[in-house]
Amino acid sequence: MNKLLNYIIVILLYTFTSISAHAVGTESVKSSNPISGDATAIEEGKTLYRANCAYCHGLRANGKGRGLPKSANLRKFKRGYTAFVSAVVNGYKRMPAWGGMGPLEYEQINAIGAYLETMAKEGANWEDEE
Amino acid sequence: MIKVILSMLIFLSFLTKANADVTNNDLLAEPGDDWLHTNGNHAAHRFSPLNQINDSNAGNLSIDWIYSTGGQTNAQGPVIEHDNMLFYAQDNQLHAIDAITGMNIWRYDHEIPEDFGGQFNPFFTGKHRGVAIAGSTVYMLSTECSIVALNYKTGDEVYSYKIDRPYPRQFETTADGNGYFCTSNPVAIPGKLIVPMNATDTGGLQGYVHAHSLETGERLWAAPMIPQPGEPGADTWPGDSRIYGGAGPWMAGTYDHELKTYFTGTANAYPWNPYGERQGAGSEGNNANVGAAAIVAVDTDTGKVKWRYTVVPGDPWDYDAQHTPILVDINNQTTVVQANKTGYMHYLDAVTGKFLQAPQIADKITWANGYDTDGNPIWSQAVPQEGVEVIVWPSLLGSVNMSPAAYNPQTEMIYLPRREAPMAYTLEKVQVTSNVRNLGAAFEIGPDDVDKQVNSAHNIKDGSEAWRTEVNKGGDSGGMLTTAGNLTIFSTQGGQINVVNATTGQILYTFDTNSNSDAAAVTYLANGKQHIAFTFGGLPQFGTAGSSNPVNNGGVIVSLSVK
Repeated sequence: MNKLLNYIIVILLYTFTSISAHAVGTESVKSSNPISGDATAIEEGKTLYRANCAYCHGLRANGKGRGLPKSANLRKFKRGYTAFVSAVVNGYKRMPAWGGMGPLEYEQINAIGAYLETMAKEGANWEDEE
Repeated sequence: MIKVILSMLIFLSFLTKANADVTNNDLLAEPGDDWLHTNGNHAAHRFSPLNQINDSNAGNLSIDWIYSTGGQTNAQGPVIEHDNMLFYAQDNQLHAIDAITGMNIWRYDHEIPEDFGGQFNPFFTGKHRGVAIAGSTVYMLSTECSIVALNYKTGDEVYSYKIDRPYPRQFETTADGNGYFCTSNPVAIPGKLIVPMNATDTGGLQGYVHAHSLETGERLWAAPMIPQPGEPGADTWPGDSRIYGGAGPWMAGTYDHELKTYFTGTANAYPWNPYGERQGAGSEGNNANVGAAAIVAVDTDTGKVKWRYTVVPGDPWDYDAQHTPILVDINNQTTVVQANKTGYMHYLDAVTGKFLQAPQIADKITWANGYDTDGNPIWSQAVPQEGVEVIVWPSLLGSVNMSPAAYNPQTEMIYLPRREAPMAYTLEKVQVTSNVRNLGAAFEIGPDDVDKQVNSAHNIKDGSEAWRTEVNKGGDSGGMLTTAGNLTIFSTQGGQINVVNATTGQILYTFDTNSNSDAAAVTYLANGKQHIAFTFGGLPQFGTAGSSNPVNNGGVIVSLSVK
C-alpha cells in the first residue's frame, strides 16, 4: 500500500514537473525540477544532501562515500528529474527506498535535486522527456 | 607399497580428525592442522606453524578448487576449518564445505525479521566476519543479532537465540528506528561465546560486549564500553550523551586465558559531530568521551570492565579504534598492539592498560603530531566549525581499517593491510528521523590519484617499517596471514592473491581473481596436505569509485596447495 501511494505521488509529481518543465537550473544543465536554480532551495538542499545522501554518495556526490560501495556518481546523473524522485522514494537497484534514511517531504527532495544540479558535470541531464 | 602406507596414514589421520568435538584445550591452543578461530588463535596472531608450503616452493602453488557461495553482499569472513570441513557465513547463510574437494556438505539459511531496516541497511545486512566453533556446535551471528547454533556435522539447528536488544527498524513503520546489528564473528572461549554488540552508526545506542552460554545462548553478562555512572570516565559524557554515544565493538576482540581478559576495540563516539551534548569538540587532549574510539579490557569471569584507553578523545573524525588488537609478549610484558585508523600503532600494557608507545605507521598524518607520554594525541588540526570543509589524513577509512593484521613470532614482524588516502570532511547539524540521530557529518574519500593500498611489515618492538608492497588503487587488502614457512599471504583489493617472503616481502606467487577482497586468508592441513583458502566477492570497498575496480557480486572461496 505504501509503495502504491509512493507511485501515485510520483505520478502526480511527474505531472506537476512536466507542466513546470520550463524551469532551467544552472547554465550547464537543464532540469524539470520546479525549484531548479532557487538559491534558498539550493542552500537547504545542500544541508539535506549532506545529512541524508552523502554517507553513500560522498560529500561531493562523486559516489565515494562509505555506506554503499559503488554508489552512483550523482554529478553525472542523466535519467531526468522524475527518475531522480522515483529513485529517492522507491529505491533504485541496491539503494533502498529513501536510501534507508527515512522519508523526506517532496519539497525537500526538490531542494536536494536543486543542489545536485549545481554540481552537474558535462553530460548530466535532469530534464524529463516530453 | 610406500604409496599404500602413505594412503593408510592419511586415512588414519583423517579418522583421528573425524568425529572430534572441539575441546577447551583445542580452543586455547595455537592453530595446528585446524584453523578454529577467525584470527587463528585467541591472541589474533593469524600465524600458522604449518610449513609444508614455504618460501622455497610457494611459487608452485596452484588452485585446488573454487566454491561459489552465491553471496549478494561483500564477502567479509574468512572460513574456519575443523574435521576436514570449512565453515563460512555470508548473507545469513552458513555453509559447510568439504575442505578437500570443495563440495558443499550442508547449508543453513537464517531468515532476518521482515521489519529489519533503518539507516544504511546495505551497509551491514548479510555481512559476517567469520563464525566460531566449540564442542560439536558451530556459531553464526545473524544480522539482527541472533546466535545461530548448528551441529557442525549435520547443520541441524541446536538453537537460535535472539539477543535481547532491539534491532534497527524501518523508519516508515516505527517511531524509534535505533538498534543493534551484528557483522562480526563471535569468539568461542572456554564456557562462553563472546559477542560484540554494536549500534553506533544506526543512531548511536551504546556498545557492549556480551557473553552468552554456549549451550543455550542465554546472556551471562554485558560489559558497557562507555563508562556508566560511578565508573572512572563516566563524567566525560555530559548529560545523557552516553545513551546515544555509540562506541560499539564491531570487530572480534582477543582473549588472554591467563588474565581471563577479553580485549576489544570500540567504534567512534556518536554522533560524529562533536559539538552536541557529548561535548567532544574543543576538548582535545582532555580525555573526552572515554570508551569511544578506545581499547577496552573486560574480565571474562564477571563482565566488569578492567580498563579503558581512549585512542581519540572526543573523536570528531569517525576514527573508530575497532581493529582487532593483537596480544604479544614484548620484553616479558603481555602487550596489546593495535594498528588503527589514526595512522598510529598503539601499544598498551595488557594488565593495566597503561600507554607504552604509538609509533607512526601511516605515510601522512595531518590531525596529530604523535602521542605524548600519557597516551594523549598531540593535536595538530583543529576540529572544524560546522559547514567548514577540511582535508584530513588519514581518511576515516583509516590507515588500518577492519582487515586483520598478522604477527609472526619467527620474524618478529607485524603485517598490516593499510590504505593511504585523505578525506574531505565537514561537520553538519545533527538531524533526527524516527528518533535516530544522523551522523552530523559528510565526507568523501580521495582523490583517486593519491589513494593507494600499502601492505607492509613492521618490527614488532618499535613499529618501524621493514618492507612494503604498494598498489596504486584505492582500498585495502582483505587482511594478512603469516606462517612458519616464512610466508606472508594477502590479497589486494582487486583480488590479486599475493604470497610473499615474510622476511623480505619478495613476491613469490600471485594469482588474479579479479574480484573484491574483504577477507583474510586462512591455512590448514586437510588429508595430509596444507591448503590456503581465500574468500572473495562483493563490491569494491567503501570510498572506491566503481570505475576503478569494476567487479560485481559473486562470492567464491578459492583453495590453493602445492601439487
